[in-house]
Amino acid sequence: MSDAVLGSTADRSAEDPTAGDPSTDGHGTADPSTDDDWSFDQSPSTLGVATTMMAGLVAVAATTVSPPAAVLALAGLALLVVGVRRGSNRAHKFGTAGLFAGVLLAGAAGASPTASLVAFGGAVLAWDAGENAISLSRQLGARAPTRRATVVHVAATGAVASVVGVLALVVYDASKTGQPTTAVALLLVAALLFIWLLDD
Amino acid sequence: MAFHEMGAEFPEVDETPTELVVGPGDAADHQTKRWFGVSAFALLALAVGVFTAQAGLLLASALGMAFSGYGRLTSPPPVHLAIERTISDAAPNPGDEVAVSLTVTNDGDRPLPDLRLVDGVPDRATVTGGSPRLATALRSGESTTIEYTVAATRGVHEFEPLTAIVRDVSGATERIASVEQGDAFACEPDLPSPTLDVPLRPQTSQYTGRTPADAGGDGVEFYATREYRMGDPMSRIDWNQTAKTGDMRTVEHRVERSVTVALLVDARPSADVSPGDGASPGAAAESTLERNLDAAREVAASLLADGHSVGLAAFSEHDCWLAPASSDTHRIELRETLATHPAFSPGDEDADVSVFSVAQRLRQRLPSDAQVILFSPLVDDFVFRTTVRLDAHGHRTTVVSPDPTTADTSGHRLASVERRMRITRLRRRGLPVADWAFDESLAHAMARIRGGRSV
Repeated sequence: MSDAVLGSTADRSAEDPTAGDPSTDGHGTADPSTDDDWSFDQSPSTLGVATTMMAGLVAVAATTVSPPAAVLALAGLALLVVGVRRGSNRAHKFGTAGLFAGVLLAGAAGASPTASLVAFGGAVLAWDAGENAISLSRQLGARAPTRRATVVHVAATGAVASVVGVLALVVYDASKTGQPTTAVALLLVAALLFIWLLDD
Repeated sequence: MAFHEMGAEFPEVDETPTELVVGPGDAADHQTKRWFGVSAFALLALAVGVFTAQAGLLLASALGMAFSGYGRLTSPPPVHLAIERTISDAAPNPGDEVAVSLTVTNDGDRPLPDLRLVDGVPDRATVTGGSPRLATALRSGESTTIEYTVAATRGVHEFEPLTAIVRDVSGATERIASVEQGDAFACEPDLPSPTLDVPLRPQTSQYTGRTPADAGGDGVEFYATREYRMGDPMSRIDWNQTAKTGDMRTVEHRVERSVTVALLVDARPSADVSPGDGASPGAAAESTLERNLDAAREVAASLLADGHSVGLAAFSEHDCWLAPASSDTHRIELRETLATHPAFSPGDEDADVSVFSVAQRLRQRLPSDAQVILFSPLVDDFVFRTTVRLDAHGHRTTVVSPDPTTADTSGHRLASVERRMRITRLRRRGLPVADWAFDESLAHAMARIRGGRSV
């Protein structure tokens, strides 16, 4: 009877079975004064937020041909960065959507192929860096060293974006003299085929 | 210095389980589906590009599709990790900081672009410095080290399996594996130096020791004089009295006897209550079970130093019994049992512990004149009734009761009043109870029994 009101120390399990940080694991130690002390600090690393912001700013800079597009992209980026800072998946998702919408708007408004590629690549990079930072913090918490994993991941995505972007531009430029639409259509068919092949 | 090394080879896994619970030695692959959104935007860019006839958007769409291809093309490399855990002190004292260093080497041929490690910190150990988690990238043959410190608390602490999460470079697939290591450290507090004056109940047994009995005979302290009987030694005759009255009188001294004592610890999870939520911040540092055991250690040390035989039993789902003895080896055994017996590890809350059957077994095992010292917060009536019954069966019982109650809510106040009523009822039946408050030393609580006892 009285144990019901007192509450036992034995039933207090950590949120995460593998958790051992002072914030999660309270067995045999001082009880926290507030509920917040029990939660596991999951805020993403500063490096993750910074890379997200930088890639996003590149994307926004490439959309400046159309001011409304740039404003939309900037608003999306702001939401995206706040979402990553707070580890919120939803804000991250909506921010990314805003950023991409800005990029599409700029493209539709007549941004140059280079600007479109840079904007799209930057947006992908910002989304990727942010998502990776959130996933790292969810799995490992704020206290774990994650610098190297973050740098390698962002560098790999950046490298892929650069290589594919440059390749696309080269193909586009080479076909400029002849039939640009045909070249682009071919490129797209190749990409679709590629995806379809990988699907199996 | 604990040292352990093993290699872990994770098998390739085909299916994608929805539930990501991975047992030791197993591995599971999991699609993160993180590139799906990019594919959607690539197709959207394609549509808008075709509609507005903008080559730039079509190129951007191609870039987006390349990314979804990138996500599909990459897969996590076969993982082969060598893990080595070093523990700075395999037998720390309570409160010591134990430094743990975990070195993970990529023994595979291929680099691991994204390796996330979560060490299985023992359940009841608290990390005080560093982080038991790490994310890094490892080239073939390269190694990384996780370093952190944990605060040692009483008991055996076994490390849980290390969790390794390997992602491919794009992050599309993650492989989760768990590696059993089986390292442990044991923290066994020493019995403290005997400083406690344990107020044992008066005793009538035949062995000479140090507890004053209510009987005259050989001893040190004056007890009474009586009429001379044939055979009394000359040195014991009270010559002053004899000269005054003419009758021969003999001095009797108070007999001191050694006592067999069983320490009975209430280790039921339901009794391991502690005042949470900052009612008394410093006081909440120790659970009631730990206070019970601290008290048992102090009492045991003092009783053994006084030459008494000390046994040990516990209210627990695990049978815990140490027959009363007073030898040095017994002292060591007692220390180890109090530190590491499974009965004294915080257990399953729902475990059904029959207090009565434990008491029954104790009565069968104990000599009939053995005393019992019960360590219990007295938070329920089972222990109360069992204690009364033990005492009634001739095992004179003393209760040491760490006070776990607080007064911050009306429920807590009710529990506190109920507990105090149990104590009052025990005292009314002649059982001495040391009501041990959080901010008080055990010696002080014990001294109050001595002072206020009416037995």
